[in-house]
Amino acid sequence: MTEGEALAASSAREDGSRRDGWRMRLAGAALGGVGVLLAASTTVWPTRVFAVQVPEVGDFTKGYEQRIWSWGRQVVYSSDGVLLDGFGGPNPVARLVLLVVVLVLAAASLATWVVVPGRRGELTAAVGLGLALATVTGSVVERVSFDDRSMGPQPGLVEITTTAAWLEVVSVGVLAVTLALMVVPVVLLGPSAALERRVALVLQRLKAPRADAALRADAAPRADAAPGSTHTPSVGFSDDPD
Amino acid sequence: MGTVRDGPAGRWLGPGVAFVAILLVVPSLLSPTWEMSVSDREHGSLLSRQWEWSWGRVRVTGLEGVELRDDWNPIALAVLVVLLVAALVGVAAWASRRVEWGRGAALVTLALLTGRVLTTVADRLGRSLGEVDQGASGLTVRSQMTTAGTLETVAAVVLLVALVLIVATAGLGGRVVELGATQAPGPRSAVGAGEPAGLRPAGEHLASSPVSFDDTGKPDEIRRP
Repeated sequence: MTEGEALAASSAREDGSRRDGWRMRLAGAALGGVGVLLAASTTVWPTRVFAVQVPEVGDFTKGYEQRIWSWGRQVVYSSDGVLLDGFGGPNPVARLVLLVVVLVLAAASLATWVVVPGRRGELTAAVGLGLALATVTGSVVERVSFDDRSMGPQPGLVEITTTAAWLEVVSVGVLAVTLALMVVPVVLLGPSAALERRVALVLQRLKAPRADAALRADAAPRADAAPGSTHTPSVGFSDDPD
Repeated sequence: MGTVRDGPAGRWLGPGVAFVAILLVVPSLLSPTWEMSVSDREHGSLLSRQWEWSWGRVRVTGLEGVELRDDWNPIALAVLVVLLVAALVGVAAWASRRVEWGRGAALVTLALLTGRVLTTVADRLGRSLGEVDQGASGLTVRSQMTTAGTLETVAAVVLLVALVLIVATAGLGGRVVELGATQAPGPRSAVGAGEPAGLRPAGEHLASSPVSFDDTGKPDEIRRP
């Protein structure tokens, strides 16, 4: 093999490796994007509903339904479906703005990860994912650790966890996995490289039977050699001085 | 790499800012960040006081300081403690420069802490926006952010600055490495330029396939009977 051919082969292999890296980043970003989308559902739908099904005697509302969003919005409806606007709580706009900004930043950082190779893209994506993960986890922890007793004695109170709340929990898991996939190869460089090599070896062995068959066909002296026999040995024997 | 990337001042600027930000969050662990008092306008007597911690503890006292309620939120407290400790470890790893992953660890742990702090700060901001006027009922309601709350709000800003510093200096470092790689002669330079600050050793992918073929040992046996 001439020097030019060796350089061409080397650059082809480099191109392949770069394409593999791009594919990996794209897969990671897609996974993170799913997490962001799942979290985004909580901006629209409430995550928790408190309903009083059995009204007390003399209660003019005849029961009520309190819908709570992960970002703090609270709306109370009577059991007749009338909005009780006398309810006043903390203004949730600041937290909604924060949630939207953080999710948009996370999506932008994932796009940066795909487009910008190397450490800078990774770090940008890690910041976006970390912010999103902490914000979404914060509201999940807030919901899970909420103590019903703080609402005072309410007979007939039923707590309902909505679908959006479960999507939010799944989002925390997906975002955490994406962040781990990004961070673990950096933090545990040795073990992850060893694992990667082992996986590559296993894949190679899975491909080996096909290569064996092709080689056996090649070993038999035949005028019309098997067409698949040329590409596999060309990798293994190219460096041989013979 | 670190010495090339940053000067003596730049080396300590990022970790220093991050460390200050973490310290600013610590008071909110111990002290309430929000305080509300309800008093009778005519007599001026204090009817009730309420303190809220950023991690969810709520303490309410009634007339003459009698404690009416003190609810803790241990899960949220544990989360905050874990995030603070993780951020400290991350920043320490980054400052020591002994480990390659220090910058990444600092960035992730600080981002997590920033997300948590921003949430509570936004919560408190919304609380002050949604102030209920109790003037008509003859009560005076006074609510305010405590010193710990103010420090936590400042911490959110400082944490954001620290994050920007980490990403900005990392980008600079990447460019320096890329420049060095293109100037270096030999076959390794092409790999270095392609992956300016990649996670794998240069040329690892080139080395892997011949090794795996040699391990099987089958092609040689078949070719040389």
